[in-house]
Amino acid sequence: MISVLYVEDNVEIGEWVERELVDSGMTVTWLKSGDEAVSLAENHELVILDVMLPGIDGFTVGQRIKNKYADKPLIMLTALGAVEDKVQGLGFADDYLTKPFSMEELIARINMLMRRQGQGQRQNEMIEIEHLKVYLNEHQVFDDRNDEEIRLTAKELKIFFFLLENKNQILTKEQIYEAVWNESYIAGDKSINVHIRHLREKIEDDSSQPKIIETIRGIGYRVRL
Amino acid sequence: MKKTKRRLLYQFIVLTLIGIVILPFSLYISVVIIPTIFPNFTELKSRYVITFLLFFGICLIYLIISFYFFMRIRRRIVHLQKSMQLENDRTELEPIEISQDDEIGELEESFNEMVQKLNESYQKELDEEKLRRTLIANLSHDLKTPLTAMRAQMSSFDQNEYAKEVRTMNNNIDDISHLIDSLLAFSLLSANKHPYEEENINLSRHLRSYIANWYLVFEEEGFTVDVDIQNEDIKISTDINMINRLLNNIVQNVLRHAHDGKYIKFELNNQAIIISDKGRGLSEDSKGSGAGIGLKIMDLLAEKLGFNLNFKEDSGLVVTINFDE
Repeated sequence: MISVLYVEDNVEIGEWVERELVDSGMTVTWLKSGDEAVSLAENHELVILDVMLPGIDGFTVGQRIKNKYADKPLIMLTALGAVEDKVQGLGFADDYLTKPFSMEELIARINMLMRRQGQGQRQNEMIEIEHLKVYLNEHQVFDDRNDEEIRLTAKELKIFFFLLENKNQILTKEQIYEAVWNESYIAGDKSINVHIRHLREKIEDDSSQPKIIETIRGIGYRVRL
Repeated sequence: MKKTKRRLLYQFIVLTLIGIVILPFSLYISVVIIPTIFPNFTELKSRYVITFLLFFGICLIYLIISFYFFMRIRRRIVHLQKSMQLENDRTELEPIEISQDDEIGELEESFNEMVQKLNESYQKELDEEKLRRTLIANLSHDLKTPLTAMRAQMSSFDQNEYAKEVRTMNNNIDDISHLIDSLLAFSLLSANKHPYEEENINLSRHLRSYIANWYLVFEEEGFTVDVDIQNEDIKISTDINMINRLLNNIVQNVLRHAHDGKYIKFELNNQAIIISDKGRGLSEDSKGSGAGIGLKIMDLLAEKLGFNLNFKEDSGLVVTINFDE
């Protein structure tokens, strides 16, 4: 039973959202202003905030909540639809929905955030991917099937961990190079390709059909979890 | 009007007078007095040598003093000039300390007055811009709230009996919402007085990161993404934010109006960025006139960037952004 703190000043919209969320099995506390939001956030698993609120502005309330409870999922609801505005909002919020949103989308996003949060607790120590067990703190990679450690060079480890840290995101070769070598990437440098090839040979079952490290042609690499 | 300071003028006059007096005087001393004091040096040659040396020495000292006077002034002028230069990332000038109470000091005072006026004017622009953004945000909120409320009301309709009508109304609500976004973006853009800030970037690299950022969205929508960057080292000098906005507009246009094509291709060569899709192109009146405003925004952005924007139809829409003048 997900407990949601919902802050929205418009009565029609608020009633609708509260009713639909309750219908889908969540408990909802609906506030019409941001005044008590920060203190009530503690008792709820997820916070949904309207950006435009009377009194304290929604952005400010959101930032305060995030500062206090960094891991608590926060969804901002806004009327501004431009991508640039979303980028600014996502600076601290976990998700950003434009009005008029559809209820299915809101509920889907809530579920996704809650799921992601559940995984997050576990992932700090160990990640399982395909047939690998990756221990993040010990910097070790094991093959699940025979419990053997796969020995990677320092650079290969760094590259692999960088991809894992930014899981599901596509990273360009410039981004990987600069994160791992700590210097500017020079155009035409092929070292990343070489390292990834070696990395694949060690961790993939069939390096010609990689399942762990995915190549996105023309753009970069990705690890999917 | 304040009386102009004259300290430098007086210093210069004094220096000149000294010159006028000292030089002939030193000549006189050398020619007349020296032989009297040192009668031993009656030999013509050594007398001439000493005379010449003395005269030359005094001239040299005078020259050094004049040079020193000039260099002090020059240093203050150069300092003033440096204070006037705006580095690339600073937008406000700082007033300078008045060095001395003279003509250059007055110049420095006038400079400070102008700095104050410039800073005030810049601040006013920033305030205006902020006000405009707030107004637009409020307007956006005021327009979108009733739309959201309508959506809320519609959820209480009998879904079975009125499914088709509800679906149509939902689509219309989406259309109005997008139109509002476009109109407000256009309004902000055409009134925007923000200076175009140039930066040197590697366009190949920038475009690749840009596509990487959008890739998840493309995937979610079931799009195939083709990337053809023909040169890894294409460098241009441009405003990054503006270029991103232009690309955002094009990409959003593809996602919205060419959605059925499920395809987007990014090409980069030495002259242009080319984005193509497999939608219905410009001819079909897809989703009403929302597309029209979108194109207008792209035109405006391209104009600000100094780029040439070109639309072509070829199994879909092909947008060419030509940055090579």
